[in-house]
Amino acid sequence: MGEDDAMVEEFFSEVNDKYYPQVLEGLDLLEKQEVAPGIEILARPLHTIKGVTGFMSGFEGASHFTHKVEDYLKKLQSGEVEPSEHNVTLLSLGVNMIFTVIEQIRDTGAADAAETDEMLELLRQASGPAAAATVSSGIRLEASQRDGVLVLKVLGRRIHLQPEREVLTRAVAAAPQGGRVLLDLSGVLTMGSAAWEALAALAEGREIAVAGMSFDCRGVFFAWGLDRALRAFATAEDYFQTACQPVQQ
Amino acid sequence: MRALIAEDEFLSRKVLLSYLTPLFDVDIVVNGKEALDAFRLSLEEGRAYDLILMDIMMPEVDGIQALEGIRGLERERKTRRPVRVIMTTALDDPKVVIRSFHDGEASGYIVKPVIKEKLYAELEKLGLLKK
Repeated sequence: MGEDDAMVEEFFSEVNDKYYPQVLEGLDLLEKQEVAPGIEILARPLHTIKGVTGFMSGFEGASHFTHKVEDYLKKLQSGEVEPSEHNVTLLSLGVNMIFTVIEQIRDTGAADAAETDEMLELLRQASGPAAAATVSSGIRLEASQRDGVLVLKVLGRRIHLQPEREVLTRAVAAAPQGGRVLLDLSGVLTMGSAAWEALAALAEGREIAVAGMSFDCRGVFFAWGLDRALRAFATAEDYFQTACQPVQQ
Repeated sequence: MRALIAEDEFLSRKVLLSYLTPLFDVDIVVNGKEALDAFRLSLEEGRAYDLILMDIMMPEVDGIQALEGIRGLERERKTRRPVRVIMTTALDDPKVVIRSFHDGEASGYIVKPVIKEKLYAELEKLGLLKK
């Protein structure tokens, strides 16, 4: 057995026997809103995973990802990031993803870059506006055609910053004048009014519908009267089945 | 900034000293027991170290035991900013690496020979050196 293999084997043995139970205990406390003791328990296994994966050939990406989650944890611990329910939930998601990442690397040789990038973007955004402003868009779009409609599924949790808006508006603007576009927002948690306004402007020459809005998205959508320019549907499937039956406000 | 080199081998001490001298006010000790004493003294003087380079294989008290002692002292005195400790060793034994990070909360780990680029890269990661 090579030195790298020995390190990987020892590491996963420690993960299963020691770190994972510690992490579960920490996450459980976070869920109960016992943030400080939860963070205290999570800090050590995260630090160890970051350090040891840095030594494991092929796992450098896991070390980098864990380093970012650990940074975020420290900011929550110090109060630099407010321990709001949203921010604490983000920490839980980040910690869970560490284990997904190391397992993906072990099983397939690489982590899902889209998933990890999205999570890192969310952590950066939650860490402060200055940090968020320096990064590029954290969203991606999955485009497909169905019944003559351009379907754009948004892969990302938030659409607020200019780079995010640009990804969205550029894709919608690519649809020809008079064309039909369906935006599937089922994975989006929140979307700022500026993004909605940009879409409304594009709807002047196109038929744009949205589907799968979250509670927060719907709030902004109807509060800003966007239903005058865009049609809303509960799901993408509803759009295709009912075609012209907008969701009731 | 202050740094402490804990290293029992003469040549390694000399090399590490040449790397750190341009950046830090450097003290040198030759085993883990002295490292712990030096660290305690630095706290008492109110002039804590910013960095410790800690060899693992040392006589009397080894590097990991010394590191655990240092972390214990920090907890006891409720130190707000734990000192950054980079472990240095000729062996990257999995158990030792894991123990350094988990039990000793090491900040970094360098397998010997310690070359300048490797050390400086680690210092950059820890925010002790800017590019």
